[in-house]
Amino acid sequence: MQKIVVALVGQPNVGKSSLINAISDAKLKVGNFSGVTVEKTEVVFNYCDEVKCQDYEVHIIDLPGAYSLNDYTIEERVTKNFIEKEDYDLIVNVVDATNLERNLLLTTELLETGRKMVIALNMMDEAEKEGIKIDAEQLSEILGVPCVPTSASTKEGIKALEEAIVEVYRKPTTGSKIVYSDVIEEEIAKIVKFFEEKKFTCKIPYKKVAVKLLKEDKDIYQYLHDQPIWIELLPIIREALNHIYIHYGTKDLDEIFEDERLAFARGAALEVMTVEKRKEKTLTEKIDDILINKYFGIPIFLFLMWGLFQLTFEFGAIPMDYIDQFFTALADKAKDIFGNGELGSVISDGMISGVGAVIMFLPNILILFLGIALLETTGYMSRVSFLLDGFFHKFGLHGKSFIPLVTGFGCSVPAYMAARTLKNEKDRLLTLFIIGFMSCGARLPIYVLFTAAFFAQDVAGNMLFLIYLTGAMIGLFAAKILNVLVFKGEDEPFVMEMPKYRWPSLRLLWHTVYSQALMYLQKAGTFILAASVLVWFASNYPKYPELEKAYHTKIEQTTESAKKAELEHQLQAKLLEESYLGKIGKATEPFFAPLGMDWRLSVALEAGLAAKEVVVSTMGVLYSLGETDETSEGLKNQIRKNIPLPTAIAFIVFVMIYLPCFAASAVFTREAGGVKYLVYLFIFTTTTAWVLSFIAYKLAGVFLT
Amino acid sequence: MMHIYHLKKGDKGKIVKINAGKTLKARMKSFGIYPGVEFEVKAFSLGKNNVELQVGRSLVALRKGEMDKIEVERLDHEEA
Repeated sequence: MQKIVVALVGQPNVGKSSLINAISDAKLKVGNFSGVTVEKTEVVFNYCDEVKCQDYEVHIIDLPGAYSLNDYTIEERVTKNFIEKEDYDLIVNVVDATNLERNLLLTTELLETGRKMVIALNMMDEAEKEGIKIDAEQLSEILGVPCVPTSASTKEGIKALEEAIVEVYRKPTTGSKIVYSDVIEEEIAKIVKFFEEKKFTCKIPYKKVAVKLLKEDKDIYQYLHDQPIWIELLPIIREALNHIYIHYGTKDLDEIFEDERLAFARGAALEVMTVEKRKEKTLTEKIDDILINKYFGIPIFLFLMWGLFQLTFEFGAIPMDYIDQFFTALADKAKDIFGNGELGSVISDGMISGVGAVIMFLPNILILFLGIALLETTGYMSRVSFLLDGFFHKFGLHGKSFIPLVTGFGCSVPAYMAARTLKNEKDRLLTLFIIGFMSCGARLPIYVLFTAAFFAQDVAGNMLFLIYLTGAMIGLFAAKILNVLVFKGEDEPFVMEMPKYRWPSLRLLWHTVYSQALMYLQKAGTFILAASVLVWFASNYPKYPELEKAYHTKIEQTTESAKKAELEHQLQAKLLEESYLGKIGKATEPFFAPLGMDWRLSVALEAGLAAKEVVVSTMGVLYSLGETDETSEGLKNQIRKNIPLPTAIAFIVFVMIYLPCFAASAVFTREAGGVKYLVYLFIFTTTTAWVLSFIAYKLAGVFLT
Repeated sequence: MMHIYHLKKGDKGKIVKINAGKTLKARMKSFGIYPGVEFEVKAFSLGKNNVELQVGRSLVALRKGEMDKIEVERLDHEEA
């Protein structure tokens, strides 16, 4: 079995990932937005050449989308480095047939590397629908490498592409050729002629050496510098370059060769492509007329976002009740099986109520992630960047910041990673700092719990929307302040492709939702479970047998059942206060006291530093243990009974702003480039959270009571 | 000197000159924006802060700052 390593290269949105999916049926994320495939993904499939009886193992490495082999974005840098430095057998260049000219620019750059290459002319079916005809054979002829028409959606040409890969692999050299303009070709010919006359021995073809010399390639100069031929070669190169400089009116060789590639790509596209002129508007144009309309665009976007939050709340609430009932029943069952002792308590009050409180919010989170995935795959996300850039720019942010920021509503971890799409260091850091203000999915349970506790079902959705909106607004103002005070400097230019609108692929949506659900459940099953047990332990220990004994004698002595219940409640509350958890809460209570919060809420917030889901589970444990009667009224009612509205508002404001979670903090540190940034972030967010929470508490105290 | 924001939605124009640094120039080139290219204004955002252009067969968005760096001329509708 022979191994073939293939580098898959293409511009963003050319259907690279779908193509790789069509080849191997491997699971891969397909994105409409540049930056979705930041990490390179590898796919392996076997190919059997029956004629030659040879088996091949083909490794395809999906490189990030790149408009050209520049250092402009991180994706392009990754791709460029791989193409230039890594070990692979051939390049498969995926080209969007509906946008041939621009795509061929990258192809030309790839041809210049002199590696073996196959071109996949993708989206041929779409091109035909748009009235574009491309002569693939002629294109192969011009570029000197095989061009295979493919379509990822209909799986057309996939087999032919596989065959072409193996065929090109077997060939000793590439036949790729670029024809430069007459001026440059003339100078190349002169240098080649000189090499021929001198019978110069060299591993690479003369023409390639000549091109490298004209491009001022450092390595080739270093190599030739040590050769005897150098002395005679030097004046020839000098003269050649002078001719070129005079002809182009510039001494910038990068720019000269850029223009050369551009001319070649243009010429090739013109020659092989015929376009039927169509008067009618394309679907994308029609949709754009509405969605990015100067006046309706932003209201439509806000409406869509509002709809998404309504859906999250309304639909999410349906299974929530069932999940809640299920876990309540499960907790009762556990008590039946394991008894009312320590074991029963740790399983029922610790594990099940903690994990249950978190799993209850799975439906909400799935709907939210589904919505974000829809925005991403349809191509709408780029339009939103366009619509919001003017607004965002006023706050020192980039329209592209919208992507990480909106992802932040799902989870801060991918949001921090999505900020890599911002090329400019300043824009990126600024975006990283305010992602936390976009309330993530894990905070949703806290909001849902509190809004449901204090507001009627029909206004709860609106309150939720208000919370998210307020968080985002605070984030924008924080950005402005940071922009003026901390992050000064040049803005990143806004040059961005608006991809065609596409129907979302069901497979991709399913994949996104499924993996998110899995991640959330894994977190619930491991991290949250452990945290719940820890919180249970901290709230149950140390034991105070004497105190319990004293109360039990008192209870036995009373005959009134109401009095009995009250004493029991007093005992539980005392025990909780004296527990480790109570002690931690008590110690930090002065810090939170000006916000109207008692030690229980202090503890919940501190536990939230580990993960926001823990806030709810901690409250679940803290408030369920304090219950006096056996019939559980649910955490919601406990909260309504125990927490005054101004305090609840202060609590929500604090949750909105302070540090996301342990995992997010780790990713933030990595993406920002140092622990010192995490320290800044911690100080910045905690201070902001405290101050705003204090203001909210005081205002609510004045207006709501 | 004419810039894209002097045009209206639906206008066609031609790029005359780009006054930008090397990196930005190269970036624009890879999106198909370079002198001599014809384009159509597809949409402006509020306050003409951003523009969506049809260049060749792709749609590209720019911000005011970038529009400042591009000199253009208007093409008459019959000519385009």
